[in-house]
Amino acid sequence: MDFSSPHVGFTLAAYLVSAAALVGLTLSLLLKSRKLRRQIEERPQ
Amino acid sequence: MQVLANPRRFLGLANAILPWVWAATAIAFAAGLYLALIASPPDYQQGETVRIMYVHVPAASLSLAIYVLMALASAIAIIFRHPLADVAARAAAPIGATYCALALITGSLWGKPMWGTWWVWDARLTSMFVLLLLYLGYISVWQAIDDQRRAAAIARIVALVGVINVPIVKFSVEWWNSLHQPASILRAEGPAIDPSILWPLAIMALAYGLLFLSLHLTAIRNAVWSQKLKAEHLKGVSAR
Repeated sequence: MDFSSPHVGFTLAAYLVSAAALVGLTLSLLLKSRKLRRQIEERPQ
Repeated sequence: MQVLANPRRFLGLANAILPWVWAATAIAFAAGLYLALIASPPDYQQGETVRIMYVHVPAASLSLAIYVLMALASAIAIIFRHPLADVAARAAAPIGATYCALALITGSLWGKPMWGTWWVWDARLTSMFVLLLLYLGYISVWQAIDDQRRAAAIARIVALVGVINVPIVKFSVEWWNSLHQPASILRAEGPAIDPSILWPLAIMALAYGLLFLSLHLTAIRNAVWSQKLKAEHLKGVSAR
């Protein structure tokens, strides 16, 4: 990718926004999953 | 499908396949991003801006497919009373809404340098915006109504009525004059895109699809665990 080409900032912004949203969504689901798994394992049988 | 009606059986299957699906997602993203950002050439007209298509098109296509999946799951919940159908539809909604919002934002970031404007109220863009509102409406129904059976009944109607918008999004560029380009991949004459651009697009679409599968299975598993904990808590309270 040529970083000196015109409008390259728009391309980088599109990738950064996509990465932020998808990583955020993934982390929120995985953290919730970890919390629930812990609660399931620690509950009295 | 009825095999998965048992949440315990679903959990067993999800726990077994999720690590593999996450691994496939990571590999597909690594290959897709390499092709999209490094190996593929700039377009002769769009220059480097064409690379936005590798994140815009998969997000847009998947947001349509996910809504269809929600409508199908809602129909299955109504017809077969499948216990996981509503859970599957509800779990898909935030992922579909994120993909839809990303399609609108990345499309806007492509539109400014290519069309000279961030946004126009043309048929394709407006119908995609309506799709985002439908996703948000569907999520709001579940959030706003405490009685989960009533929420499910209304959410199913939102999903089934809203799916009418999907063919409108798809064919909007043919039915009305639109600034958005017509279909260039799913055409009767075959794709109108050069293979050097089509391949990165296909791999990124695969990566977005696998990510959806990973997130969806994780979200359904979270919902099943939450219901299980809630049921046990209520059982404990009533036993006191």
